[in-house]
Amino acid sequence: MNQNYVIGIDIGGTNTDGVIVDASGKIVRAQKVTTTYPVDAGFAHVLNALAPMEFGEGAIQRICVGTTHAMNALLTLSNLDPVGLIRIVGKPPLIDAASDWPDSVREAILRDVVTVQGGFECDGRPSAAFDEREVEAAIKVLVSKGAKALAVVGAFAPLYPEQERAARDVARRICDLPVTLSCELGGIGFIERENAAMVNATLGSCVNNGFAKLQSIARDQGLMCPLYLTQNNGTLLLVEEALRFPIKTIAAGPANSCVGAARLSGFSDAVVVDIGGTSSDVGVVNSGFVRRSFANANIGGIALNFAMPDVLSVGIGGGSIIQEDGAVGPQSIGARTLTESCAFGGSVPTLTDVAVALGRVQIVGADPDRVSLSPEICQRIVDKTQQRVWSLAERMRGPRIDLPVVAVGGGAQLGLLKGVIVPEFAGVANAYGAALAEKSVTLDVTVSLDRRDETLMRVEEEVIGLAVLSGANKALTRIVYKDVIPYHYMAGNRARLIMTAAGPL
Amino acid sequence: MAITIVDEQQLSALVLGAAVLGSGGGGNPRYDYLIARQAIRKYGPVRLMQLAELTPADFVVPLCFMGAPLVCMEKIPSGIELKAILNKVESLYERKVTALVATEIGGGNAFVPYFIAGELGLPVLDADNIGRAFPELQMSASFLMADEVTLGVTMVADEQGNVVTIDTKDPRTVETIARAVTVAMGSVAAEMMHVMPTDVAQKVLVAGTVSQAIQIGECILSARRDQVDPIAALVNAMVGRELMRGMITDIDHSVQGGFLRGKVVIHGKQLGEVQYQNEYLLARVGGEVVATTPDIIMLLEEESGEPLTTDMLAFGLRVAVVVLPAPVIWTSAKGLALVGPRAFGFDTDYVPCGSQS
Repeated sequence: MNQNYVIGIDIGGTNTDGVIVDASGKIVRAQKVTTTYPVDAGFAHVLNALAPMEFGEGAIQRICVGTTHAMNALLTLSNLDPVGLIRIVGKPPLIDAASDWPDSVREAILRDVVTVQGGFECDGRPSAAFDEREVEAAIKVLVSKGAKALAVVGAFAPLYPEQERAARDVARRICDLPVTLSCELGGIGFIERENAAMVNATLGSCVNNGFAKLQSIARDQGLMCPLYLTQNNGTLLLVEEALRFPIKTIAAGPANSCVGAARLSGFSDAVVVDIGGTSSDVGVVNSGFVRRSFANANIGGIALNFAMPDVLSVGIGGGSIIQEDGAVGPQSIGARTLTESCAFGGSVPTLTDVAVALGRVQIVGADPDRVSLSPEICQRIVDKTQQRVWSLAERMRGPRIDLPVVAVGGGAQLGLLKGVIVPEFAGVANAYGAALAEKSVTLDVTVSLDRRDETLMRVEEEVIGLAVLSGANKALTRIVYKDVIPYHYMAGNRARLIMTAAGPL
Repeated sequence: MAITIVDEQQLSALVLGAAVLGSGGGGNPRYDYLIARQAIRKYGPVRLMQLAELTPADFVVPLCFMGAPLVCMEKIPSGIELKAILNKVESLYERKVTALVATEIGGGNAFVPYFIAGELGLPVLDADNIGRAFPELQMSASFLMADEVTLGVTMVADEQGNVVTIDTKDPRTVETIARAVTVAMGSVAAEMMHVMPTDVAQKVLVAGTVSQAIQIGECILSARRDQVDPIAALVNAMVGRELMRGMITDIDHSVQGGFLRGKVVIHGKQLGEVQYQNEYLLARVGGEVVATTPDIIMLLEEESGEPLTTDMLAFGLRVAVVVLPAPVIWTSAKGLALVGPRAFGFDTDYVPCGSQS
């Protein structure tokens, strides 16, 4: 009997999905349960429903978990820690912290800010004398104001991190609050990096409460294998690292659905449309990896300078309400679609009703006669939906017009889109993507471009070596992401170099 | 309908309008907009003053920031640089500064006067020193008029409050010296070029460009609200022309000599191509030159009307290419010699916006 199985779990907003995948990548078991809050109960439930122990003691190699937990905390402004922010700059900037956030988000997250003197010029000259006593006083103020987590941002810290690190040392000496340093999160772009640091800091408890117990729950069910979370680039993340850098998990959901979709349909490169209850997300997979972008990364109204899956979203989903003028959404009845749509005896006309009325899908309990929309109107709605979703797909695939378009998610089975591939197990693509997650290491360093090819090769060897050390299969480990961002006009011909190497365990 | 104040709503329109007049260049105005908006929220709306309202008692200071874009994203202005310049001007000339103006209306620099205008109770002039954006500092109205007026000094200042005053015989050397000082100051600095008494301001500055930019922005915003075509709305309101629509299928660019140079190819009913050097300079449709600098060529996202700077171009974007008439000073023989297509190395004469029917 094949002793090499992997469990993939996706804890979504509405459903928690689970799959068991064999060594050849085939799904041998799939389950869907309703998500609970706190998330561990739902996790325990789906694990139980998968009955992994039937495969034998030690047959399961690892459990990989993807979740929108952190993302949802940000979107619903719940389970967040109040953050105390320290800015290390020469002179106070004319942009206040979180000034471009929605008011409700700022109030929920940022407790107070203290500015201390320091920071650097682009060439490494200190902008002002940095005094640790000033940092100590700042931390004391923030603690007294009720901050439960600290975030530190210094001018040019990605190039010169020493002052931020010194601030963390001070914090460790005098308090027990977790500290996020901006230099560990992003590149040049003070406001966006500051935003990322605050977001990371505020997610500490939420992630602790959600993830810290998952491993022990698995053990209680007899699973002694390691448990990993998945991160924004779709690869595995140790739980300890997820607890330190929760921001690395927030977009794991879309990353997993893209990778899962591509693999389910047998493509290493594809455009993926994930059709949910409320919205559809369109992403791209290159060489089995979700394409990521720095530009326009925006979560819940907060602009970030953090590589996020490059996903375009549109408010079209299975539960989208058909408006009087025939427009689809953006409002949606989401999880209540299968009870409140017209086809199911309810009174809300939804996109699911349109699919049922046109005979594109048969669902138990759905009666097309209960949908009052005429066939002509339904067809117009379908055509418009096709056009809206396809225009996003075209934008995402750019010049590569040969890329197939794969549709997954609960809404994919509505059969509304032409020219898309809906693979088997489309409904659990997220969990499948989590199961397939590889091990990766990312190096984010500043290098000189004077001997560019030599330097790139050296970093490439280093990051591949680190990935293999962390458990990736040497023969299959390769570079999956490379970005060189030159620091134009700054002395020294330097650039930020980000390289990710990944390989299967 | 004259615009007499700049409040938060006008600022939102200014973001779009300054980007359009920036003709593809001008940098990412995001931080500049946030600073201006914060100042207006704190100190209230700013009075927008017409050039014609200036009296001999007035003394005008054109302001901008110079520096490496990446540095500007890390070292955010504190206002100390700008105030240091004003203090220096007042002590050097022994008169009060009475009005501020943007050195350039294209891009982020359009917002600079509002960083401190409210706090100091000063009005901002409805004008600027170029009328759009161009790649090089000497492509400005004051340079064009250098033989006809006496230009005041230039000043460069940093956040420490250090001010360097540049007073050169030949205005052309201002750019070279100012850039060297900016690098010494950490690759970002506030700049005043040039201090202007009323008679110089009224002769040199391009009038009405702030309200023009706000009008452009409001055009796009209200088209979005009313769900009508923002491209057509813009072109009609600004007496411009739509050249083509299509999808970006090729972008070929590199940084050469400090400028983002390249060309973008657009596939629509016909094949289009726009060449740029920071700003869009020449447009061809079906192989024929249909628009050139100094007219303002712009690419906008087709559905939203969002102006696309050259560093925002991406494959697969659906865009419209439009051209708006150049500020009049640039279409004179002297102007064309400085910023016409041949000045940028293109083998074609100026093709004015209104010339085709």
